[in-house]
Amino acid sequence: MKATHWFATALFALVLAASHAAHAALIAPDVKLAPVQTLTRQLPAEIESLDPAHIESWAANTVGLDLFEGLTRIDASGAVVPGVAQSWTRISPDTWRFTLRPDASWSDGVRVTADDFVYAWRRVLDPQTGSKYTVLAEFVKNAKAVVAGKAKPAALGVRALDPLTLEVRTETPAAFFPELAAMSSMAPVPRHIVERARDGWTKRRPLVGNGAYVLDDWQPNNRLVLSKNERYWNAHAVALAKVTYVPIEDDGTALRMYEAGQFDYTYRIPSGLYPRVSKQFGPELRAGMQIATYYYSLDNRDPAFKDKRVRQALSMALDRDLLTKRLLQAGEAPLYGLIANGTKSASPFVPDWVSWPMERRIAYARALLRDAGYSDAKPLAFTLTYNTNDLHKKVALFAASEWRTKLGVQAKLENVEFKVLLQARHEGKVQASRDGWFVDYNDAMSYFDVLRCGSIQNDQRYCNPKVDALVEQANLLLEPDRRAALLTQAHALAMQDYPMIPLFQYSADRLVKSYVGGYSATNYVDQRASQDLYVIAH
Amino acid sequence: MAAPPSSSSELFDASDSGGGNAYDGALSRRAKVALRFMRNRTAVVSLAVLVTVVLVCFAGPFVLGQDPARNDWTALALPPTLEGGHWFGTDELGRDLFVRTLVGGRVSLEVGLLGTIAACLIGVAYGACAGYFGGRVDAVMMRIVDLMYAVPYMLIAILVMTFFGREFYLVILTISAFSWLDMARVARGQTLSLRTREFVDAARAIGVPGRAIVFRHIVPNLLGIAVVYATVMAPGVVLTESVLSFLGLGVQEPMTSWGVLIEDGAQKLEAMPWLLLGPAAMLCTTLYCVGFVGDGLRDALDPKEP
Amino acid sequence: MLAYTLRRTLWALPTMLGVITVCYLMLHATPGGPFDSEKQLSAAALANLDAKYHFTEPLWRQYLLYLGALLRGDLGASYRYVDWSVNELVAKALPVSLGIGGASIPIALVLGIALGVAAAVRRDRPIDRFVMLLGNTGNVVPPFVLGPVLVWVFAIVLKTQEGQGWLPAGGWGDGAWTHRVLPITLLVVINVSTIARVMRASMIEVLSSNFIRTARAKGLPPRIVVWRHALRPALMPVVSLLGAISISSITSAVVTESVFALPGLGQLVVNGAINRDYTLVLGIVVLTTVAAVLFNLLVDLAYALLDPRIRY
Repeated sequence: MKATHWFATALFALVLAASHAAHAALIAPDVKLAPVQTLTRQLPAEIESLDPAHIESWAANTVGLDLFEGLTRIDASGAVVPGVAQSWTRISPDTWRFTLRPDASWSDGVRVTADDFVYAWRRVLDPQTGSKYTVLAEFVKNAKAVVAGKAKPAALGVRALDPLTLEVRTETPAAFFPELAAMSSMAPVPRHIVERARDGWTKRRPLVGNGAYVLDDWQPNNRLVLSKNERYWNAHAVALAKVTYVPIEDDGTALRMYEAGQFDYTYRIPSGLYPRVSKQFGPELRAGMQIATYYYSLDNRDPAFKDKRVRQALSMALDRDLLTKRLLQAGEAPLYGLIANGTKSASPFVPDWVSWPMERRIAYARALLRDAGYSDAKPLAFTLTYNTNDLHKKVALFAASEWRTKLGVQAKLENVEFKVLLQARHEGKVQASRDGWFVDYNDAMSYFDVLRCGSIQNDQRYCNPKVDALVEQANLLLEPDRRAALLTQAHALAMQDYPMIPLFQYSADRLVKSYVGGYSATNYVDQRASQDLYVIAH
Repeated sequence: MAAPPSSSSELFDASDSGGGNAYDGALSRRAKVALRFMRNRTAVVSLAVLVTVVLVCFAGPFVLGQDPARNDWTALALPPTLEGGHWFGTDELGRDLFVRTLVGGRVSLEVGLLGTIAACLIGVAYGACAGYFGGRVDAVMMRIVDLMYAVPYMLIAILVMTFFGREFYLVILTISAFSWLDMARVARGQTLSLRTREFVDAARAIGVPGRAIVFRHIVPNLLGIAVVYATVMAPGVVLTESVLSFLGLGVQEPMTSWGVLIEDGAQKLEAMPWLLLGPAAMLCTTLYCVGFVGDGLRDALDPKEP
Repeated sequence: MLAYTLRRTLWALPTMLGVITVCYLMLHATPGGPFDSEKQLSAAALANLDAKYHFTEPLWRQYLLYLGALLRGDLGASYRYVDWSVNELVAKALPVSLGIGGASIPIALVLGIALGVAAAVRRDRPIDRFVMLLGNTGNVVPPFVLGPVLVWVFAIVLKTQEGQGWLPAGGWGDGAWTHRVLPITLLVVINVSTIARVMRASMIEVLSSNFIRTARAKGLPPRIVVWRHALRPALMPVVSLLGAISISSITSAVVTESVFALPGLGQLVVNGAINRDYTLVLGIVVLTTVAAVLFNLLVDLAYALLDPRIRY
């Protein structure tokens, strides 16, 4: 009796250890950890808020994910793993059931329950909160009506079946809902604190959260200091004891501070310095990709771009290999379609003319322009607008030069301030402008927001009902492979209309000291939680 | 050293012949100023250098025949070479940096010159009037100056650029619109001192109207400091233009300016130092020369020996 | 004098009102609003935000609401930094700007005056040229070049035993002196050149005036002539500029703050303008106006001290 009892305990402990070890800092057994586990990381700008209802930027999301944990979590390799929810099932195409773990608690000891999620999601969508980032929560049933004030927050399609079970109904079938649930704006908030303190609850120190870390200090534009949350359910697997975030806007300054040893982990490297940084820092330069697309948005209703042949010609003439490999040189990947490499549920679009020699592409493009009515006597002329930035300037000059020398097209360059560009584009006052799309969650659906008829993100004013129909059809499918095939098809169909000119996929290169472990090169989503990092003895 | 007590001291200061010996009493004042300037070797050399720079910037690109906007994709980011013809090297887009520096010089010189002159004219006139007339006029005029000091410069720049377009003259206008404030303060300060002097009382006693006193008696005595401050302002104007371009409010590509080139080069200093060194050398040389010419002018205009 | 001071202080109120009104109108007239972003907000979300921040009300009503709050000392809530009020943001940035800009002014003043006087007294001699060449560096070399060069020398080339830079390359940390040295140096270098050149020109003019000639004729030693008699009137133009230099060093040291990543007022106002964070920009404008009015008053009072003939 005693032996089997002992054996069962050992087996149980092993299973427990194995299941826990899968989801925290994966430290190889032969790695020696440094005695002092602290890390200083750079943020690209001061964050707007630590309240999950108001977090909208990448930087705030990163810090937010250290302080709050949602139903799911993105681990070091970019995969979706259990967070507060230890398991979940998709009961029907639009219904999910999440089972929360019993040992999840807030940093002040109060248990995290399903009610906290219900309260938080209702709060994000509540018109009174005035959240700027409701995109993710709007996948829940009736969310859009709540935001518009047409339904009460209680009508939201999420309910707590019991303190440890959460049932979510989505507006449309969303296979990627677990991806969404990992983001900061879907994190729970401590109802017992928020209800009492209202909007000032984030000023409390230490800030009450359920993540791997708690906020000890926040000096705006100066630093944020986090320390390990001992009440976190997986605290024993968290290596770093203290994390400091430093917001530095100027990339050159950040590089100098890294060189002077003031932090261990930058956000990115200055434009144009990749080869030199690579030579100087060697393995400390961690090259990677982001799921983000750089493209030129074309107003499809503008007389210059109404004709699809014109748009196609402009796209064909650009040598994206020259652009990425010789000009930008930071590991960007050329893109010929909107969807970037690494996106789940769809493959990038590669038209057949990519494999043609450039001369053939130019000849074909010229023929297209001729058919559209342009010639040397009557050249195509338009204005390309971009906002002030070294990268945008380089790409715009490159594009204008290519179009001028290869097609005889006169593209006038206009450099405006960022918000001015946004407003002008929204009002339909720009012809061609530089644009970018950074996915909110890792699924192709995030991109289709740009292509859908009538979508507010569709600055191209492109509309192809067939594409939208295919997308809707795809989302009804439960098998991921079949859904992916249909979404890829829909994307290809849209790209063959050339509504915009995709150029390349952003890379995510940064400097991280060699003694920092846990930094994975394949995390395309680029969500890097501090709990996955550790300091090697050096 | 002791020149005879010149008639140019406190009474009827600037309208008559300046100091010096009896021999050049026959020359006009302007000629005397020019002569005195010529005696200042540093100033003359600086002036010569400046003229050279201006000529090279405006005529050079024609002589060289190179297109500043031409991209040579095989010659990206090359350091300076003598044979290749890229004396300053090329930038990341394969454009010849020497030609770009010259073309940029045109913009910077124009902005610097016109902007400084405009700011000086307005500032000196404004400050002298405020200081001389005093009382309520002074109060209102200087409160307006206070007001303009407090308004964030960038807002005005954004507004002007977005509402009135991105014309080149608007860049100059925007920069002058704020640069004149300091000059006005300096001019007013000097005027407050000057108006208590006897020559002003004398002029008033004769019945010279206020405006004439300001422009014919006070302003010429301000010129010394004004000229020096103008040479202090000029680099600021050039650099302000680069800050505006940095924010997306200055000259548009493919036009460029020294400020833009230097700002770009400063960011890439460790990787591509030639991007900074060429334009920076031109800018610094020009500005140093402007400073020496300014000092020389000040000395020439107000020749009293210490 | 006292009456003058009182009159000027009273003028401060309409000046402030004028500035705030002008800025308020300008901010609202600028294209782009605080909620414009690359990913558009839905109409419903925008409507909620407009309601929360009273954007739906007529502009004059919003203006009056703002003024009312201002009278209570409440600068409003930031549109971008949702967790902080403008009062808090400004209160945290002000000590940084004062600590850097404010500290650099006296140093630049003393150095600039010394250099300018030295150059004026030994005019046209080699020392004059040398001093002017040195002094002019801050005027001629752009700060976004000079700053990184300073950092490169003191933080990257010079390293301690552990491999850290001698001085930090940026940041503010707790405001330790190590974080202040380089930014203050940069600001001093920039401001010294202006002060030195103007001081030199002014001193030369004063030294050639009649009363100095009298003092020399009396047989007074040159040092007394220069420092006791010539300096005061010669300081006039320098003092004229002092107000402007002080204000810009404290509230507009944007390049310095950007190069050294300092959490000061300059960065705050620039980011505020870029993000169309109206309340933040207006809050700093209020601060700047108070400072401008105060400094200009002090400068005018200083005129009277330096030149006893000046009467108000």
